[in-house]
Amino acid sequence: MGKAFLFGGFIAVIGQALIDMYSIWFQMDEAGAVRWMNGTLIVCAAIFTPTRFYRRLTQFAGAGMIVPMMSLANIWSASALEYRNEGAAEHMLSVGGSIIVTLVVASYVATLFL
Amino acid sequence: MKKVGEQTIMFDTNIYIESVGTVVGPKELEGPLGPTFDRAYDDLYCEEQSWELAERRLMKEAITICLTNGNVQTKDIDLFIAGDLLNQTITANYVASELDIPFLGVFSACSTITEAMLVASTFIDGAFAHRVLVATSSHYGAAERQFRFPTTIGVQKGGSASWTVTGGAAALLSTTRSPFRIRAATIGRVVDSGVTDPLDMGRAMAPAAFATIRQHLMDCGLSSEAYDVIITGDLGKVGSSELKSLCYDAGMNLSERYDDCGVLIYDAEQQAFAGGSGCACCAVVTYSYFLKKMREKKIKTMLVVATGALFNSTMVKQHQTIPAIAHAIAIEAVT
Repeated sequence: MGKAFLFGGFIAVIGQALIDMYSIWFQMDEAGAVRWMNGTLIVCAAIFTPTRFYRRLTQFAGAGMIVPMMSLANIWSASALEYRNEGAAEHMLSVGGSIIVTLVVASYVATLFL
Repeated sequence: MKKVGEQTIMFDTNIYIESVGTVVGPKELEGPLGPTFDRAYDDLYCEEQSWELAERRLMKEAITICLTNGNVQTKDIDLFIAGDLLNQTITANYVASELDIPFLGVFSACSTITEAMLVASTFIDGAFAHRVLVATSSHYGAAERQFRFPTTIGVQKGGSASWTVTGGAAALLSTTRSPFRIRAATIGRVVDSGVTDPLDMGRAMAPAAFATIRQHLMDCGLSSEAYDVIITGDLGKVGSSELKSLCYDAGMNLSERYDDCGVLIYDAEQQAFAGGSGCACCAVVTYSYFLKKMREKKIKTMLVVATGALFNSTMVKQHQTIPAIAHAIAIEAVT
């Protein structure tokens, strides 16, 4: 649990560093920098997926790697890669599809209270 | 009567393991038993396009090596018995389609190899066949994605999980004299110990292994000291300690004469969790490591108890329990 806590925090630090970097070097506003930070982390997660580096990190850090949004990128790219011979698009959401369903239902419920 | 006791068959005919062939993947090659295998691939794809094709190649290669070692051609073989972990034992079916030998497909998960051997021995003992080829295979990638998750997905597994062995193994059984004779076989009963976690198969299978070992010894009127070594297929670290404690409670002391193929095949540093599993696990370790020990006269008798967790990903999702089975084969050295 300690490893998950530290690793999750470490990723958050990288995220903050990316936000600062984008806003200082590229003169972005806060919202734009956050979007770019998210995009960078997601692309990195997808890049680290095929070599099983992401899987090894998760085995080590547990929830520290599963909870951040990068894991979404990992799940989808892993599924697409695994089923490339049988139809990537068809199987891409076989593992991560539940996340989309949960997101859509949760956002709908949330809008009722806004 | 060839049947002794409740579940055991004593073979009247001298049935020998004429030759064997083993092929493994990269992780098994790096493991402590690496040098004992006939051939190894340093890439998980084994020069193929997909995990499933790689597995097919492993089984085919093992058969080719086995036939070359025994100097036997396919036309001299009466029957081919094989099975694997993939849906509808598809690897065995495709390999059989290329061999042109009458074929029987068998499945009892990771205990498929002992099931195949005991069916083959029964055929030979009954003079229904002279020479039978048995084979099995498993592949880490193919099994992982069929039973669990895609191989690159980030998941965290506990210490009770196992690592599917990538490999293929084949053996020729016949009445042609060789250093290894099959003496007896015990057909296991399916035991459901109520385990529902597919990442804890050792615990699910240990009671089945215990039931088969106890029944075998009772049927043959032997004590556990009668065998130089008693080996289980893929209980792993968790399952084998469970089996040892079950045996201890029943007054059988396995301790030094007991080994588990799943524990032997990987090093502690290889991050294989509790150890190896899969159809190939018991087969490649028995055919390479233990038969080699027998040839070197370090052991004279062994009881091979391959264990199988009879689960299916659909039933696991419906929170059903995981039944398990273990079949035993007694092999002795011929001097």
